[in-house]
Amino acid sequence: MTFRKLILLLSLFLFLIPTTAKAATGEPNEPKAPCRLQISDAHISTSLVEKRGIRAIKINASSICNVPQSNVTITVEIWKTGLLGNHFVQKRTINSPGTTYPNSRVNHFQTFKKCKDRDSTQYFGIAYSKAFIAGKWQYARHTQTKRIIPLNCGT
Amino acid sequence: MDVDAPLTLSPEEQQRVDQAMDLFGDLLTSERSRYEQQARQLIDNQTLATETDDFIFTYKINGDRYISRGNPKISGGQNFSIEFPIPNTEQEKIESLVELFAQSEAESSKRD
Repeated sequence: MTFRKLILLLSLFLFLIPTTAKAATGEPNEPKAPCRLQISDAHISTSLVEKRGIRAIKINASSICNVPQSNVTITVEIWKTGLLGNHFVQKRTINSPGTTYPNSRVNHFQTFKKCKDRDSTQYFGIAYSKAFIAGKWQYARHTQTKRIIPLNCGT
Repeated sequence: MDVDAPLTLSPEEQQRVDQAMDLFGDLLTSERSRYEQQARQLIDNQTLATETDDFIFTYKINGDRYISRGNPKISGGQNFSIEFPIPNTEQEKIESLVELFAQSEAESSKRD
């Protein structure tokens, strides 16, 4: 097996390692996976408030890969906590059919839901993705936001 | 690359996202009447198809969710889907669908 094939196999193996937000905080000496899915904490969209006076809960995500990837699909889900379990708020999936260069990001900054009132509600998000890398579909496991954030935004 | 680096966009990307959010706010009011009509059609028929200059949208009611899919008319563009839970009251259903239509059409404006 050539050195190049070894590197390729190692890259694919590392892509499959779950990249949770918790894991992403990084233990010392933890190797960095070549593909990573990052997710922001839930927040109120500043642009909508400032420009339109509309309050909306928003969660962003980005897929970053050190190898070329194509047909990148990123899904972001917004959830809120409740007395009888968690409640689904919104889900948005984007699919970018093109190919990205190594070390480039595919951003997904458009998952939001308008607040219907100012009731304090606790939110968290989940992101997952898939991409076509080196002739195979590769899946990034579910990544959850680091924190459950209370926001004055009833949905 | 720092794993803990905050998620940020380039100025151009941020501008596109801001424009789409701004358009969403516009559409919520300017197209409200059309969206309310579409909402009633979707509730009655369970499916709905609409289009803009650049995108084809299909909406359907699937179980306890409203689902929107947007596909660009030009091949190679970014496509998307959005899912909302179906609320309990009739008024909330209309409001939820108005937002779904506005989000879908605003998203379709966010192109490179």
